[in-house]
Amino acid sequence: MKIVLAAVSKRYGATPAVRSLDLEIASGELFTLIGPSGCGKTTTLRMVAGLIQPSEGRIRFGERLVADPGAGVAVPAERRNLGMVFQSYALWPHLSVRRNCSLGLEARRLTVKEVRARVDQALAMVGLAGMAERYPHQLSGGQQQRVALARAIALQPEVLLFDEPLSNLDAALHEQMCAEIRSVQRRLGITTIYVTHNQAEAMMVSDRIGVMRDGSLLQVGTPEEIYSRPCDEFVAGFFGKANLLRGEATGGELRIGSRTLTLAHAPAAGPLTLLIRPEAVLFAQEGDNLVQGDVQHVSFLGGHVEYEVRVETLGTTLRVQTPSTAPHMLGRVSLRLPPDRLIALGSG
Amino acid sequence: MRAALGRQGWFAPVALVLGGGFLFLSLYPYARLVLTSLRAGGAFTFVHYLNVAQHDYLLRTPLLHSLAVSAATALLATALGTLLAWFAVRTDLLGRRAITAFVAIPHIVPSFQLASSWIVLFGDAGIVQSTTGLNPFPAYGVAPLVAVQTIHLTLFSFLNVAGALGSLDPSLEEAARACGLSARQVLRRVTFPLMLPSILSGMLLAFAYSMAEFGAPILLAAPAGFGTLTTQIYELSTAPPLQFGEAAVLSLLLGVLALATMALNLRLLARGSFVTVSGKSGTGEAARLGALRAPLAALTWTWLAATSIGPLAALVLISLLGSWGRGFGPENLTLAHYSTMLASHTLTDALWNSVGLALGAAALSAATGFVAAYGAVRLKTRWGALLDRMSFVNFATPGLVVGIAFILAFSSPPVSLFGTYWILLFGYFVHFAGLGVRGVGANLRQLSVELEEAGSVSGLGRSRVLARITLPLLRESLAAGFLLVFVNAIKEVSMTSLLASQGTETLAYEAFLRYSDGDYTVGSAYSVLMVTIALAGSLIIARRSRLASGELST
Repeated sequence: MKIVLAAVSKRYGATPAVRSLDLEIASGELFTLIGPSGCGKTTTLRMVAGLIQPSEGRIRFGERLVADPGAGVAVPAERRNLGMVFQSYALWPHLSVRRNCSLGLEARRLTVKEVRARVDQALAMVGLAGMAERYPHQLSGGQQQRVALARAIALQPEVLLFDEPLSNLDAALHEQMCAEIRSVQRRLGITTIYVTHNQAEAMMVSDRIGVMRDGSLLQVGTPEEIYSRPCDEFVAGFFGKANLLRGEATGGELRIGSRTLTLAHAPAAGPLTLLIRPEAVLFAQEGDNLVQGDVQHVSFLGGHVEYEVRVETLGTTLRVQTPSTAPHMLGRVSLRLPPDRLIALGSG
Repeated sequence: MRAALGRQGWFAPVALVLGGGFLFLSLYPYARLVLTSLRAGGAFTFVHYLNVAQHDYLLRTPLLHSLAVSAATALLATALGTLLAWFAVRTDLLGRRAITAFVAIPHIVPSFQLASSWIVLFGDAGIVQSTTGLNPFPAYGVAPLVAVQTIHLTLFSFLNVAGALGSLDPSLEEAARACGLSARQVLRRVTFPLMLPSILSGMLLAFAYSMAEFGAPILLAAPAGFGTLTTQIYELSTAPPLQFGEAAVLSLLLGVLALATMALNLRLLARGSFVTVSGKSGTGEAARLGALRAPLAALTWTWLAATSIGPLAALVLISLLGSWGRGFGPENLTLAHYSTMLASHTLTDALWNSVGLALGAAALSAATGFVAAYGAVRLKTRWGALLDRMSFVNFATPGLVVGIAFILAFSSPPVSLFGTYWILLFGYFVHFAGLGVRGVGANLRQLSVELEEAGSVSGLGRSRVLARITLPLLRESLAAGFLLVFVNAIKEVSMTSLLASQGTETLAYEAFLRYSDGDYTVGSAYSVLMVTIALAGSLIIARRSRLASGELST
């Protein structure tokens, strides 16, 4: 079932939290909202959940209108057929794991047998088959996280919502749960909105990502699109490391001080910022766009090595990444900035 | 541990005097109480126990009365407190933020004063009858007693539930809604079960306090021939023929019941608290009362005004009354009682006695609180833990029982204090020190020991670390403990009625004595002064705690 947000805004008093957001999430898609804290991503998620109502705009689940303040439509959370995983997990401490998972089902007029079967199935799916009679405080953080997931999917919801679900887990568990959430969501094919501020997590789980800032969507795209063609400096810096080069575009070239760099496509004349990722910069003696620099700092990072190279002619320090198997460089070096890896950013 | 204490400089002698004094003043009277219950004519005997067991009027009847009244009070106070807390924290009821103050007022006003206000309002030729000709409620008996105690003790459940509701992680309820539970189902399946420990705890507190109540039952129920454990103990130890042996047996029983209830409450709180404090609160939207908003607000505020302003207004009016039975018109209002008492110095004497004793007890309690907390939390000594426990036991023991124990211990040699200020000062100190100890201990537990270690590393000696770092860091909780003890000592009447004598009367005792004799006008003049001090002290406490912890709830 697809989810459509049309011109959705939320204001608290005069302060806008979300500004006229348009978004369409395809059926079965896992869509991630990402951005720094206070960007409106959680507010958007809570409006989709029906925990808060938008000030303006419409939200549709498939053909069903669930929120439209103009028309007085405000379907409450309990009638939206959702599953939701909270940042704090929000497991009910007075109920066992089984009762945590079944409480929502009990409100849905199923037989005891059906409820039992569904809960067992959900728990098995998250690898907690033997834990049904335990209480939340008897479980580890990772297990609690799984119960929260099981509780959400046991409802067999049409929409699955995640509000920073992994921010309380340590690094190893974090990666494992990421993969697990992804695989469960794929198997069930439920339309999912996932909120996080962690870009690695977003890259791992998402079909598409929406980057938010100050209540607006800056860019929507697949993880690859967002990484390789960010719309502006903010998105470029938010996803991965970025070398930015500012200059004047003239024809097919960028002029920075006395240097010119050749571009693959001719942009409009005027001020322009180029992005090149550290792994796109090459150590090379020949080719186009060669610059000379001095290695100032080398960091060994396991699989790769990162250099900071001062390039006086461009007036900047470039980050360069090479596989750690490549020969290590020191002193004066020659770098190549391949034209096809120089990305023109939208905003100047 | 000797070495640890030895390095504390001035702390060691202070701890020894205060801690040792406190333990002696606590344990010796209890020992005498037990001994008295086991002796007759200089010989060891169980005759008092047998006596009490065989005569229904001594034990069975007052015990059943106490249990019944306390159970009814606890149930009503809990229902009321829980409902008001829900209104205050989770609804859009008009003026919901002010509810706390109006539930607190009738708790700050001592129950014997509430009882007196009830009598002058609803008694023969009382305010209600004189002005309206109606007689809506009886003046004396069980129902007025339960009503007055309920009004007095609603605060426990209210604060417990309001606090728990305010700190409940809102996502627990949101998760239930997201799972498809209706608002009503969320309340029944999630919110209420999570609140249950707090609700039960408020109920147990109300029950324990109700069991210990003395002023209200003796003014309201005893005249109707309805005795409770406390009034029975009072009678046995003040009305001839004095039967201290039997009084001691009943006191031990009452003490054990009160202690057991308070201990149960502690256990409940330690084990059953589900409430998780989360960073984001207030995201839970208030329940809209809709069409019921206006009528519920009217009902709530009528109740709150009647139970807080009503007793106070009645008190002030009666204190200005020329003579009882001549109506309440302006021609019968006068300041004569105040001026007579001022002229004869009885009012000022009582005022200075009250203030002096309360200040002394508060200072001793705060100092002992520091000694106990430091000994228990930082030095981790046995005596520190013992002081902590003992102060809890003394506070949980009804004031009347402490009073009986003090009479038995200190009215004859080797330690003869009866008739002096000391017996009252020590009585208040022993009974209320727990109010100082608890807060300071909790405060010290939260303070990182590194703050003090940083002082030592910077070259401060142990005494200086204590004086320059530890004590200043604890000043909020020390001040709070001081004020709590002060206010409670100002209002104390059950212990005082046994321990005060010619020349050591306090305001509360003078008022209570007049009320017992049926002289409500003069008694009220004393009480006005006492209640004013208590309300002012409580206001300062509330201000300070709000400053220290931010607003209580949303």
